[in-house]
Amino acid sequence: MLEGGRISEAELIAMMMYTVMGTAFFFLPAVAAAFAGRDVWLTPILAVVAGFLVALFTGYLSSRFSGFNFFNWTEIILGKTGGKILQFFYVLWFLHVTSIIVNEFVYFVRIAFMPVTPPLVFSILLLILTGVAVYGGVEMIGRLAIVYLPVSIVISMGITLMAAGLYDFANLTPILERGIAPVLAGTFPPAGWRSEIFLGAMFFPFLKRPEKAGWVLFRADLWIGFLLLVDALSVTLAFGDEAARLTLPVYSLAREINLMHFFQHMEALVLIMWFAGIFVKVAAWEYATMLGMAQWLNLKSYRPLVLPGSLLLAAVTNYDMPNVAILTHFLASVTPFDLMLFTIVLPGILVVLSLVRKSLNPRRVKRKGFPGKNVVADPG
Amino acid sequence: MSGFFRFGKTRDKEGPVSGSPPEERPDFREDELARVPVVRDLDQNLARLREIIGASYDAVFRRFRVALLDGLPCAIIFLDNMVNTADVQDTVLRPLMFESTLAGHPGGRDPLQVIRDYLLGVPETMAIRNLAELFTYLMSGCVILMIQGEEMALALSLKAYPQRPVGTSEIEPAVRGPREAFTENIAVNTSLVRKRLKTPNLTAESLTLGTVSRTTVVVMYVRGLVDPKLVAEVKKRLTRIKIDAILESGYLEELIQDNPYSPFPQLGNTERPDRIAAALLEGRVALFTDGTPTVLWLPVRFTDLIQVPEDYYQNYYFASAIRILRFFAFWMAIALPSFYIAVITYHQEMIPTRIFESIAASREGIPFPTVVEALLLEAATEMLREAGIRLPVLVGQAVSIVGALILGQVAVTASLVSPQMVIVVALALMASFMLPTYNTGLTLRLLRFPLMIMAALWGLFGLMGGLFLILMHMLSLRSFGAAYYGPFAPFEPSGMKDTFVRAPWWAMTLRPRQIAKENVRRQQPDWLARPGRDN
Amino acid sequence: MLFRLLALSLALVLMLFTGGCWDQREVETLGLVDGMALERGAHGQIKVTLQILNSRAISHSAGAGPVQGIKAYQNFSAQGQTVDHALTMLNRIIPRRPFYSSLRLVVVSEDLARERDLRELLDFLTRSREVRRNAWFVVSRSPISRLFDENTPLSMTPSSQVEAIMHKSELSGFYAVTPLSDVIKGVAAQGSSPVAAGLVVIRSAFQAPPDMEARHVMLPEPFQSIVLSGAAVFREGHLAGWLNEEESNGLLWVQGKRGGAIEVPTGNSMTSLNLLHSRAAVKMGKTGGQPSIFVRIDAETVVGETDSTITLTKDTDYTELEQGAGRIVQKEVGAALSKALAGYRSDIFGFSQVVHRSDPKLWKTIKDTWSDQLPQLPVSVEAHVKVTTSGLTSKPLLDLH
Repeated sequence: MLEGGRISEAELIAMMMYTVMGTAFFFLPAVAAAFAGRDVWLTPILAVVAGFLVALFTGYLSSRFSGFNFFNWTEIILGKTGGKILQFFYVLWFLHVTSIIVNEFVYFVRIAFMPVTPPLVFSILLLILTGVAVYGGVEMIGRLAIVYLPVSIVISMGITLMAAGLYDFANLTPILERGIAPVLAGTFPPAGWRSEIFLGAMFFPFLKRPEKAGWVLFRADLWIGFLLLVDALSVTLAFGDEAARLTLPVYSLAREINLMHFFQHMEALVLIMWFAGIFVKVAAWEYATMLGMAQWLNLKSYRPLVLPGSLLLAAVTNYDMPNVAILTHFLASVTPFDLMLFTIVLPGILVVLSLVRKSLNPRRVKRKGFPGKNVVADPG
Repeated sequence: MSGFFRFGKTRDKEGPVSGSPPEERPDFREDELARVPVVRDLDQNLARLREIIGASYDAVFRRFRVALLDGLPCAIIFLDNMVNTADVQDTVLRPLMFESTLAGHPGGRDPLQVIRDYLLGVPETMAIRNLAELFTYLMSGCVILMIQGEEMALALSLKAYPQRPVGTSEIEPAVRGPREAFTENIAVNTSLVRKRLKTPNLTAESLTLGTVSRTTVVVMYVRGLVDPKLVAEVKKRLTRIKIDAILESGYLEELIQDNPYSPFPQLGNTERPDRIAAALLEGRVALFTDGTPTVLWLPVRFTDLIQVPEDYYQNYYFASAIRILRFFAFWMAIALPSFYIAVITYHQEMIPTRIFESIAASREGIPFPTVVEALLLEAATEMLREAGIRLPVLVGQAVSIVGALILGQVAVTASLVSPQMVIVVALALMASFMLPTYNTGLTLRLLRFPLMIMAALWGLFGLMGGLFLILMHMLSLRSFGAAYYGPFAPFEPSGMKDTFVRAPWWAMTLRPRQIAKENVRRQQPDWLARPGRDN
Repeated sequence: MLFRLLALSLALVLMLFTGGCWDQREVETLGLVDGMALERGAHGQIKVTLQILNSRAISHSAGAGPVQGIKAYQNFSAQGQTVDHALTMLNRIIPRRPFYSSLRLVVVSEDLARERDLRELLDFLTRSREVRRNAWFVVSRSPISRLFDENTPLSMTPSSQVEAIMHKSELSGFYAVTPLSDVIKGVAAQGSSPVAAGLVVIRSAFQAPPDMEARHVMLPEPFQSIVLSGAAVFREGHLAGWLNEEESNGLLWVQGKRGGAIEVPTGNSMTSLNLLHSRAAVKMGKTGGQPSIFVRIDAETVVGETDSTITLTKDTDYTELEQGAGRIVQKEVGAALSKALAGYRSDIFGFSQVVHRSDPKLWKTIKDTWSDQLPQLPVSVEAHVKVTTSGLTSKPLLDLH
């Protein structure tokens, strides 16, 4: 049995929120503002579309083949060999994205807090912690997410409110000065990140009602959009044009807070939020990686993979991204397309194929099972 | 002198201090005793008994004859000081020896039956067939009545242990609420709870644990409120225990808890009957152990560790505010010194400038790095605390004053520690005492040390990593089936009324779902009369 | 299994002892930098002076002042091609590690500000993770050595003294004091320029700071004190010139930050009106395809003192005061506008932003020649001053006979 745990819908939403916002909350204004300038606050609204598409595709597939996760669907729709090939690419992709996230974390810490410590220390520390969490199973990650979510929200809203003294609504104008095109260009990175909620498709079988999973993802998307909107707005209102120059906008915002000369130096809060967010995000991604690997190799349990997998991740992280310019460039230009390929395009193709098969062969496929049983339905 | 250097020669030619040679006596095991029956011959029985416990000075053997039954020889055996000798006199000896006024001669009836049914004034009698049973009762303080010619003996319950009277709770005092505390007598303890829940559904099942101590353990629950599977599981774990003695409920706790390696308590313990009664009402099970006033209850969750019965008696606004404070105290007790270390050593930019200047000033002459200073202070306060417990009252006062002075004032003046560190450590200590159960405070203080090390090594990341490890551990703990970190995970909305805040009683309509499982409704919602609605 | 556990624990324990705690800094090894000064050094280099707080001087009993007998600070200087280079040079002489999180004051000497571009000088400050943007930025008209070596019994160091003065000025609306964040915003925005407060050290008796007439300030002798004096106007990152007291007031009016009092001539003498609030609204209008600026200033005042025969009981008295005040406002703003826009051709008022926001298309066409067109920019000013109450008395003392 690969995983015997169950999570509630709220827990899945919390996990997805962390999956996206763990990094997007901190990087979005910078990366998107490089394109969109002052209008960066529009980008989270527009990026809802990406999440919506993901929810649509995966939701459809889940309602059709409920009780299975994405890897199972590949085998159902493309056949055993086709599925395995596609799964291989997904496993590699999971691994790569996880290592990028760890790299983002390491860079943030080194820029803002402890420049001298070797990056390997941070990545190993983080991976040990997430290894323990992944070992604990999906229930552990779900519970961590939901226990910590209120704290994160309170802190982030708190920072937004406390910084209200720095806001200048004039910073928003002129709206759409350079037209809509830069805004659209600036929407791509956030859209790519939003589509990370695709990760939920690996967790669908653990819900009580997997056929409603699409709606769960959609709700998660809306929540994420709202919070990112607040994030982008607050940064723009406080910094205006300069937002594009900052590498870590929310952190800089927290530094500026000076309420009654007592509430100063709030960046400790940002650190707390950041650490927890990254932790849950990496745990979720790492879990998907391990689970996917176990499914791909038809293993009975993913747990033996955790330790070697973490080592592998540490190695990949260490050798990737030698400086922050490469990382930022990667995040801004490559990641959106890379992410959306795997989260929207390929699932979309799967949906189309399944529809095609269904119309060609009206016999319905309906079998209940979990990834643990490695049941592959006969597509007929 | 010659005795002083006799290192290797430890065999004494003389016997033990009492002077008389030790008897070569095998120890009697229960299964052997069970095979020895009570025989008809009184003398043989008594001889066997003398063989086994005759050497104990408090074993009393009293032979007498029953007047009504033509002088039938009988004997009672008991342990002096464990029975109520006045009652023995009144209810056993007197009726049997003198006052045998019975209308009509029993004639022809079984003497045992006559004695038991007509003559003995004792409320409780039990029949004994073999020596194992006999000793079980005899060692518990019953009086054994043996009758010539009968194959059964009788055990008469006339116990009177030396014991403390029911007093006030020293460890869990309260401003409002009952002050009664449990004592070491299990009968007293169970009755303290019984008088609060006078329902016939309150069931108290007893077990005997411990091969040498033969301690009575009582499992108490309210039938109909409790999940039967929970009771079955508890009993299963208890009967699996094979140990020589259960001297205190702590033994039980360690032997039956879900995760034997966790530093967190997984069973609650208290010495207040009202807390047990409240727990039973929520569908929990209580475990009484004879010989200790500490009663266990299960299952327990993290939130229960920071709740106090007084919360439920006081004004709920106040109780809610204090609960929030206690919650902060929990995290402060674990994390405050580590947080201080991390910020001072790695993240100085977070400190407001004024405070930073004064910290820098105070740290000028101190020879230790911050971590060492913190660890030293912590160790010193723990030593003080422990010494304060062990010291006799008379000496304690002086030592505590000296300790406070030395630690607080002189150490600072001598530039061994900085005043800010003293404040931090003191605050954390106080916070750990704010928690209701002593053992929770112990856990927190224990966990503080690894966190301090992690904070010293990796700054706030070390601290956060450590806290997350603790959190993950708590998330994976279960206490007899209930998730330890509920009602947060898995999320139970109705449980929120009783965690950070204490909703007024008329609002708490449901019991904790994870524990009571089926019997969730405590009271009907919405029955509270409000002005304008009911009249 | 047990062996594996032991081996793992051993590895972890060893890791604990071999790790280096690389970023660990014990508090007492840090040197708190209170103030940083940049001035012109030899051979075209920049001379950086750091004022470092001596924590031994801080008394344990939480007083604001220093312990007697120990100098509360020490200044270290070094030169370098860039600011960062100079700071590296400083590491050779400072026994502690500079810690910038408590940096309160950044001073640039007048000659350096004229010579070098502000944007170069400030780059280090924006990049550093320790520096906070609410430090104050000033331009010093006296040599830095005199500024940084003051005897300041009321404050711990000269830097904190200046900080206190600046903070108070911010609250009461004297002089255009600017924190670092405003300076950075000013340099970053295209078309606008920042303005900064000026400092001067006055020594000996009866010397008036250069911007004021001697009747305003008289210092007892012998005395050395740090005084706020004038506002420095920048253009293209270089210091262009100074605004005197009246002109600074005008600048504050447009920024909506003016505080203090307005002296209105009434009859033969003056009435002093205390400002409660002041607001400014800047709008753009177009005249014949060219932008023009409208400034409307609203202020609410109360009568603070009058030494004239105005009775203050009649409605018309108040109106007269209001009109007089309005004229003063116009005068001050006019002075500021002419000096800055016409004289220095520097847009310190933020008019460029207003144009940019209101009409981005127009801004695109004129932004390159904006600063050259500044002298011709039509600016009209409307001042509405309200006088509401007159304190606890109405008729002035003079009028009682």
